[in-house]
Amino acid sequence: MLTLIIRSVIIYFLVLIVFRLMGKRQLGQMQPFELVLTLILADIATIPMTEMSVPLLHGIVPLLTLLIIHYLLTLFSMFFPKFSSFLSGKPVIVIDQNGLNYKNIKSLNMTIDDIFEALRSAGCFNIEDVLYAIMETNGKISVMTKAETPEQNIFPLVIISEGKIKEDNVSHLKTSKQTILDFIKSKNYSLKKIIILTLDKNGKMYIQYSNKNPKTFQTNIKEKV
Amino acid sequence: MKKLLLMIFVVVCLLCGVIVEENTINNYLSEIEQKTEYIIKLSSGKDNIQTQQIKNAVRDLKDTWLHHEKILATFANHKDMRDLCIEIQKLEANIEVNQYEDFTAGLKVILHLSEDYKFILGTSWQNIF
Repeated sequence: MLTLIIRSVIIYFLVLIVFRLMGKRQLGQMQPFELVLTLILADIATIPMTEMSVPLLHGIVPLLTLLIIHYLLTLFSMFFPKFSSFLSGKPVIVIDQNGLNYKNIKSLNMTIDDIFEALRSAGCFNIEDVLYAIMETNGKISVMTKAETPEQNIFPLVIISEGKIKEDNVSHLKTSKQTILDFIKSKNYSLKKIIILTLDKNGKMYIQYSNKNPKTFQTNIKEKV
Repeated sequence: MKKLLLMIFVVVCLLCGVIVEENTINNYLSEIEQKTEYIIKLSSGKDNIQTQQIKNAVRDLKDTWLHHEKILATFANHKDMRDLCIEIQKLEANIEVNQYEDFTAGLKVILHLSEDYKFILGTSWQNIF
């Protein structure tokens, strides 16, 4: 009995430490790989806690191994955006100015009913009010309503995140990577030190440089029509 | 940086654990095998196994096992180790009733189980897949 209590206490604190080190995300905000790890962790933790014949090490070692895997995956995701996309997927536009993007919805293995359900969960009951709806990698839908954005073409996209250029978004704005790099160079910024850079179709740029306050510029980088 | 150092520390701990586990299991089970083989040598071709020499060798084997069992229990499933423990205990009972066939069979089972545990607890492709 005492052994069980001691084992439970050890496993509890170990799992708590592992979850703390994994980050503060809630269940619904987890990326797919985080959800997989959480499910496995929960299962691994209970076996040595209740099964007296299983050494506690059989629970501790897999827990620590999964912690290392999670850390490495997060690290790789930070340095290699393509790996991050592979691991977590990419946000997918499900509704744009042309209405429902059926091809993208099908690629998500979702039905129109699912999209409507997600929209209602996001507080949007009328599809006509929706300017953009994006299915995020954590499974939540982000909605931008027409009321929120009077100018319908303005939709800032993340061009640089943590020093990495998002080429998909660059091409979405119909500009080029070189144009962005030239602009950064003209402002004497280092690409690696840019935390976030967003750009909209009118050339309005928001930039936050390492350890500095964010700035907003009006640039001449506009969508080439 | 603090997190990276912590992760490196965890990796080092895990690697050290792997090395310690492999060495401990191999050393302990090899010792059990050696002692079992010694008993086989002592008892081979003898009708009477109730000699002091065999009794001492079996007691030595049992003491060695009891000493190592606690440490092996840290790494291995306790249920897996029970079979080996029972076979060692049976040796003493077989000496008491002078059951040569059962005694030698028991020794062979001990050798087999010991080899088996080495394989099960060790690292190999077969164990991974």
